[in-house]
Amino acid sequence: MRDDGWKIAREAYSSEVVSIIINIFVGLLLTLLILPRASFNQIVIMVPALLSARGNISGSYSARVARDLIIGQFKKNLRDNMISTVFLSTITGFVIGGIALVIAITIVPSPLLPVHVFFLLPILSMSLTMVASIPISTSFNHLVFKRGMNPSNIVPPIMTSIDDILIIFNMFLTIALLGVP
Amino acid sequence: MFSGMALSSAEEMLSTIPFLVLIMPAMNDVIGDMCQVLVGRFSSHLYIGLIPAQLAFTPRVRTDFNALFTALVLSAGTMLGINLIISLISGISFGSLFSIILVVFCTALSLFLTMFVTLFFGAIYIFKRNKDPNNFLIPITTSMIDTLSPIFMILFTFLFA
Repeated sequence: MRDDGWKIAREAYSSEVVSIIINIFVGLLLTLLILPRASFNQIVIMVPALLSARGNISGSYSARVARDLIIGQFKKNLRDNMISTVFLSTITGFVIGGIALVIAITIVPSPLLPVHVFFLLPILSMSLTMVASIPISTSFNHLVFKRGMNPSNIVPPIMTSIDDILIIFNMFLTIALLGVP
Repeated sequence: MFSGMALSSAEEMLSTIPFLVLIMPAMNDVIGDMCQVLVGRFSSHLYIGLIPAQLAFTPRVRTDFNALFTALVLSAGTMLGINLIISLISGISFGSLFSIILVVFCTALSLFLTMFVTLFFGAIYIFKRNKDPNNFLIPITTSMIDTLSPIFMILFTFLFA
């Protein structure tokens, strides 16, 4: 453990600190903006699914952009890549909304939110997140690649943390737009 | 969605101790990152033969366990410290300090131990079938942690807080 193990622990810990600081903002947004709402028990059903879905969708987008930059297909594939990501996020949002509605009907005793809110909340939150995340991720990949580094090693961990903040903020924005109590 | 269900059921607990909501994203992230590093290391060690494809707690596996366990304890301490400072500044309630320390460390350590055993068995099983453990275990890890983390945290809060 002394040499090799300690080195691994130090490296893992140092990158973790950045990640912890970014994720504390996510927790803060959740606690201050979503927790005090009367419909928290219904909204929170979607939160873990939204957080992991954005990671899978935007993480894959980031990985595909990195691959395209490396193999020289960036310009050719960019449009399709963007459209498929937004499309996938909309479909995933719809599915999350549907499952959340079923769970809410099953376990939530209080009056339910209108059905359209269950679908619009994840769809709009995810779409807005992708609209902001795609340009950031694309530019970041491009910048890292231009500096001679491999974007696959650098961009995904940072983008997932940025997306965590974006999705919770957009969720709050959507809640305000839809007038959810 | 199961974790969302658990969170929804524990609405009263979360409203009483909002610190749990504050720390949850960071907790998921820390354990998730550690597990991804673990899967990557198991996978590459199996490929280059540093770990035999059998269920044995070899010195290499022990080194990986000790290293990531140390990193996890340090990360959990940092995460707890920063979150406590933020909650003191912003007035977010964390209940009893001793209880919240117990909840955070018990959740982090039990999740890590559960994931370590699962990933170790999983990596060897998948590798023995001539497949890359990275491709199967990383997506499963993310979903498992998203599901288990709120459940473990609610369970330990129920026990200690």
